[in-house]
Amino acid sequence: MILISYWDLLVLSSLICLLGGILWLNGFNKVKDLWWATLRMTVQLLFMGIWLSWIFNADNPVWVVLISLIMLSAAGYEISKRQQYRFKKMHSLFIGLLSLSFISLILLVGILVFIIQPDPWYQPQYLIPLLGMLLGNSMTAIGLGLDTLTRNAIQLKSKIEAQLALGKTAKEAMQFIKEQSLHSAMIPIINMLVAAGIISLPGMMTGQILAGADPIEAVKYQIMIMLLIATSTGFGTLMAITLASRRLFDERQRLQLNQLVKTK
Amino acid sequence: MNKADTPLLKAQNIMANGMLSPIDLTVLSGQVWMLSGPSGTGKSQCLKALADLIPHDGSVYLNQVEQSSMPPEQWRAQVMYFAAETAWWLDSIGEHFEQPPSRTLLQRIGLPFSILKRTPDECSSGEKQRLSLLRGLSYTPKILLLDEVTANLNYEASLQVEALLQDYLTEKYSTIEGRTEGGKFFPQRAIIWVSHDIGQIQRMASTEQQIVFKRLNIKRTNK
Repeated sequence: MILISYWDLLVLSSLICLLGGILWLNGFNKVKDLWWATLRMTVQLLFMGIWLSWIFNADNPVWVVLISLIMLSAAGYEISKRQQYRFKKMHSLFIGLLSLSFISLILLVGILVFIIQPDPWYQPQYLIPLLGMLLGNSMTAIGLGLDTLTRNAIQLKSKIEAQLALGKTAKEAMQFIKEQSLHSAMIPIINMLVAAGIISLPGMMTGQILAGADPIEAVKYQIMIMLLIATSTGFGTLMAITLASRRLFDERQRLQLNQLVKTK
Repeated sequence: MNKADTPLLKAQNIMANGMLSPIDLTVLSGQVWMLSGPSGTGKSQCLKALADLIPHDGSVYLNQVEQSSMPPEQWRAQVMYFAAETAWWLDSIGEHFEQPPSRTLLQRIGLPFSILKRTPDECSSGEKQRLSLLRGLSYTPKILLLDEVTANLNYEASLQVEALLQDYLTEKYSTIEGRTEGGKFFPQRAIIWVSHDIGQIQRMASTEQQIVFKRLNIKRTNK
């Protein structure tokens, strides 16, 4: 494997500086955000690198649990941050975290114990990258699904209430919104599956190939990841939407939109 | 006490957000009650509270059964709220009906049968108000809570709707459910109607069954 130096990275970072400058001249007013995001990415990844080499050497499950928890809460926080309408009392964070961790963790443990079978099964070299890939994708989809749900509940309030008034249950009255939310969450995943291998070379596979792995072996890993991502994303979104949909009604199935606060 | 005198709907101390004072109401089968008064006095909120669509204080009974002792969807199918602004969530008008209304029923309120094939956007707000009424009636609710349901209709169409609703209270309406006692028909149906149309109020209800919501003459203190 050909290694790259910190100098190489520093030189490459001038690309983002240049991009920011030119975009600014063209009226883009989020240049600071772009630079800040790039800086964050760099620092976060460097830390992750340090963390990982340390954890790989430490060989202690406590550290694996700790870093997984940090990744989960960061993803949960990111979901609730992406909502235009957030539930009061941290319920968005709670719903996000629960639906995110429930299915991702089950899949992760299952795949490690029954398919990959490293020794021990929680070997961080496998567990942490896999968790990261599952969380990253589920997070985006769950965030999108929840946002569509709450936004539509506010905009289409009269359509929900009209159905309640006709004697439909809260679940029936939310069905049309639920469908839309699932749709907007799942479309990016379906597009990703369609594009894989023709238009895009997925990151993990590319990484393995660059590191000198046999392309066929890398592809097999990538297919497994894609299957896991699609599954965890779909079930996670469904769970989040169902939980949020229930939260919107009280015990007499009355629509309670005052539980949502506008954030942006 | 005669069975005809047992109230079909009884409301005690109904009070919801947006209402200025609590309301008591005793509605007998076959009656029409008209509610009127300036905007912002909580008439719609009162109807929504009766349908259990919003949180509220006080108690409501339908045939002596308490609101909270019945599943909400079952209550709302019998004590049905009709909003002034109608809402449609499916592609065509017809899909919103479990049993599409008959040609004659549509004709009675001046609508063509083909209207069921249209999308909601292709109908005027007046047409949609009448369609929404039929949509609700197809569930044969016992109490109709009408919130300015003829607001977008002209005089002729309003009269057609009023006549249809009068018939709904009697055996004339297509489906007949009810009980007879000594040969007399008790339809087990009643209407509570919010309206700003003085003529309509007088046509539909006697003075004893008219309630005027008033602004309270008390300065509100800022709490």
